[in-house]
Amino acid sequence: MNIKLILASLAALVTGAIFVNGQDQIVGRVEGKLQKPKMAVIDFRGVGDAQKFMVTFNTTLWGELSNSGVLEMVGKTFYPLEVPQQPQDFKPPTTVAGSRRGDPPRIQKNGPWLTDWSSPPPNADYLTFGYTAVQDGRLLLRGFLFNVRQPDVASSGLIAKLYFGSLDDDGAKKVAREFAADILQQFGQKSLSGTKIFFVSDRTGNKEIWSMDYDGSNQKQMTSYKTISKEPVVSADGRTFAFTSLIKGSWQIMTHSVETGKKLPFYNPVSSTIETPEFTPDGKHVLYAASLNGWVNICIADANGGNMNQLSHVRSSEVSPKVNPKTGRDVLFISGRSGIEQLWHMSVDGGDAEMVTNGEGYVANPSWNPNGQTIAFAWTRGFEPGAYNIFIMDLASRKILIQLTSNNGKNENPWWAPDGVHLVYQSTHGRSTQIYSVLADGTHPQQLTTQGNNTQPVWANGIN
Amino acid sequence: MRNLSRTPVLAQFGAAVFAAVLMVSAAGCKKKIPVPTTPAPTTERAPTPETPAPTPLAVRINNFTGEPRSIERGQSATLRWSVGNSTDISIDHDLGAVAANGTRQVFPSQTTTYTLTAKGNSAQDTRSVTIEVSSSVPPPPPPVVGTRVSGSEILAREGQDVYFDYDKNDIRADGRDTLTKDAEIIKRILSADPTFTIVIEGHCDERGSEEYNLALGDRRALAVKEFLTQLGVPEDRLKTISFGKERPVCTDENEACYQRNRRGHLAPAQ
Amino acid sequence: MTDGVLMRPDPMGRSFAFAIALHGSLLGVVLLVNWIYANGEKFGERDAGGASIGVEAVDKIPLPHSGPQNPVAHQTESEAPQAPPEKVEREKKEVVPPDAIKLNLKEKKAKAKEESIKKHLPSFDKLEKNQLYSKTPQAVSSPLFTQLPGSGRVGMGANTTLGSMFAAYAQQIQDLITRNWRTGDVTAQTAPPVVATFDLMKDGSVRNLTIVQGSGVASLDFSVRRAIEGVNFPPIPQGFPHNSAKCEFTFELKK
Repeated sequence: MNIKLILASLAALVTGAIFVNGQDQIVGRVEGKLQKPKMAVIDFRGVGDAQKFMVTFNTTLWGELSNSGVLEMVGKTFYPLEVPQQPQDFKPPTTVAGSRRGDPPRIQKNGPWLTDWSSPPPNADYLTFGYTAVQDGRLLLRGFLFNVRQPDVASSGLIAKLYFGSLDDDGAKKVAREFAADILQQFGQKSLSGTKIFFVSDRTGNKEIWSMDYDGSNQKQMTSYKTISKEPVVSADGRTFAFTSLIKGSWQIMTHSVETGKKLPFYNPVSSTIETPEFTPDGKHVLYAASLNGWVNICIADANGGNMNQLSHVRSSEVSPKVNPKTGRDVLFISGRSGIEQLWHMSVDGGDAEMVTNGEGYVANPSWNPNGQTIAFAWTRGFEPGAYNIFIMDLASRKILIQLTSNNGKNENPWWAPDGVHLVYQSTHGRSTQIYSVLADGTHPQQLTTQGNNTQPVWANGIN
Repeated sequence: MRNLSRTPVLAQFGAAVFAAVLMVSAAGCKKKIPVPTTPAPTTERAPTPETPAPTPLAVRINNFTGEPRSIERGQSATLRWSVGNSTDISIDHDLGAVAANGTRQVFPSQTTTYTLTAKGNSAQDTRSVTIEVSSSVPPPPPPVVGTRVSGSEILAREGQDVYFDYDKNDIRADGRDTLTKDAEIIKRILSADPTFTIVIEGHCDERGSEEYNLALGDRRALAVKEFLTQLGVPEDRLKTISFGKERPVCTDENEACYQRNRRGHLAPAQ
Repeated sequence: MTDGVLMRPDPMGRSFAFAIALHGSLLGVVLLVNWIYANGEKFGERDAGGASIGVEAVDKIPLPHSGPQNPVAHQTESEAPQAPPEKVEREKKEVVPPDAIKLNLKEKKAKAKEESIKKHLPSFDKLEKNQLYSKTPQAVSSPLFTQLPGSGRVGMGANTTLGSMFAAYAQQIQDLITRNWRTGDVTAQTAPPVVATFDLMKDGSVRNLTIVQGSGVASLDFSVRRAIEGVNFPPIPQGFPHNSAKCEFTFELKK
């Protein structure tokens, strides 16, 4: 690091006048197809007591990276024997003169080098390496991510960072997850670690709102109204959740703090049916569906329900408004305007409404990918009413990218994960409905719930 | 008698006393009724059934009963009798000649007195028994004027659900008939209790999404409310609520069950 | 034998004096340039070509000269390829023996700068006929001068230290865009290249996305927009001296 700084300041001295006054540029060329990036991860070792927790660390790190769906992991059996633990371990091979007079020059290996990893057998594009130690009674991780196809160490570095955790397995997991999150961020990916899934469960005898970790652990009851509470959503900052509940003979929206669980003020209009709440990405407004003039239509209000405005004014039922998380400017919703429930799209001020699906079947539960371009929803197209399957569509082209389920039970309520690569959904077999997670290509399905009936999952960011 | 003439008067007296004693002691045993002119009684001989001997004794009805004494029409009673010294036994009401001891099941359709007649030589005996027959369960006493049956009870007993087509909230022709009757029931309730409030529930079958079905149920409840108010039910006594598909009455996956669930239902307000 | 070469003392005196003289002149140049920039508009378009990472943009120094400005001259300067610096580099490499101790790094670079300054006086002859002429500030997008050999490599000069710190990051940006570019909807089999520019902010957000050179095929231009808009770029690494990086990417449709 020090050397780099010196070099940088030297370069700045020489050419610095130009850089300081201008803006630096990245210029590139985009063509052809790229395969999934190939990632190698060394087995990290620890100094002293840190070594005790390295099995946990390495397992967690590998799992987070391989479960992300964006990396092709290079198996450890292909790794070279000499493994770097910090950037200065890399030593470029040098050409030395032949050992005897008249011999041609030969390549002398001076230590681990980038090409050890980018050549066969590993053939990797990236290397995650580093080590752990103990400092002031805490676990310390030095983590590095290198692009091993670059020509030299100076231009390989993507991550060089320190992480701290408690000196135990939990601390090892924590630093592994944080490191993995930073690595995945380099691939445009948010880590799932820390994200939460909110859902509805009737396991207590009443439908209440529950939450759990992204892998199904830590299932926690969040409400206890002992009536019917459902259709949960979470704000983008992960701090507030909203839902609808049958209180004193009418359906009303309630908002609660995620951290404290306490109810927050929310003013409902006078209406028999208010449902499907939705936060805008900036958290300043809430959209919902309410029956105001005899028809359930889409409305928008402040975060506490004040200043309510009706966005759609049609003589048909409209529900499930979902705001584009990338732009915050347009909305997907379900409307019966065409005669049956179809997917519609409009701007957040209620204008430019147009039908997205083609009029076949019945549509429900739209969900946006965080990229604001791909959407998922439940559709009965091709099957009888009630037989929903999950479809993924590119909104701009209206092209169906993939039908994720194929009539094996009722599959509804898909919701994209914050990483844009996973989804969560509910599936009904016989009398039991459970929640599953899956990759957007349909691989790695995982059942997350078992007790009671569990429905309407939403995948939320964790609280920072 | 020659011996008596030889003795003096004492001897004559002794003989008379002896004859009197004999007569008194003979008179003391009833069983033996000394009838000097008749031969010895034949009772000591073993009876021979095959040979119904003409009984010189009087006819005797030992018992004649009917069990049970009171029945409902259609039920039966059993007559039981035992007769002595008669072979000519009969019961009236066409039961005819019967044996000296017997039972008979009878099905009188109304209260009937059965008479048993037993005849002997120039004598007879009769006995009767009456079987009482009641025709039906008597109705309860009429209600006392002034007691209130609650509107909730009337609604629960008489109110009818109205049914809808799939994904629709229009009132069908059969729905109009149902609601016309329901309107009358409601008006009746309200005339007795003007503060009574009815909640109209809208329900759906399980096939659509929860969210859309909550809205559809809302529409159905509203359609019912509009129809009832058109028929004169005061609007402020009617509230609406949608349950979507949260409260099915059946869970079979067939059209019959789906139709039962696609309903508007009238309930008393809590 | 090699020992002998190593044992021979390196004549330092001459190089040292030369180094001092060079540094002195360079210091002068630095002060001069700062003064020029401070005085802004007098000396022609600021940021006429911007400074590209990996582009040793000393060719952008508008040397003062009296008399009327030739605006085209400046433009040709900005269009002028960076080939000369590389050539200079290569020449330098041939001179220096492979196992020489890298004492004179500063000197080498300084020499390179000086050579390139000399070579970049305005000259129309150097113009390539198919260069783009545009008033908007942008770095040269010709592959010759900003790309390393091999397809799709991001423009990073091989020996620019400041540039190399962010070389890996720049490669990530390009790879992320490449992976997110979906052309399934584009019916054309080939088309002219599309050039898009945007500002990549420190937090990885994108601003001012512009198609500065369209292909004429609307669906293709749209796909380029979506390729960039749909990516969650990682934040710019620590140590980057500015709040944003100007990015320019050329998209070549090859079906």
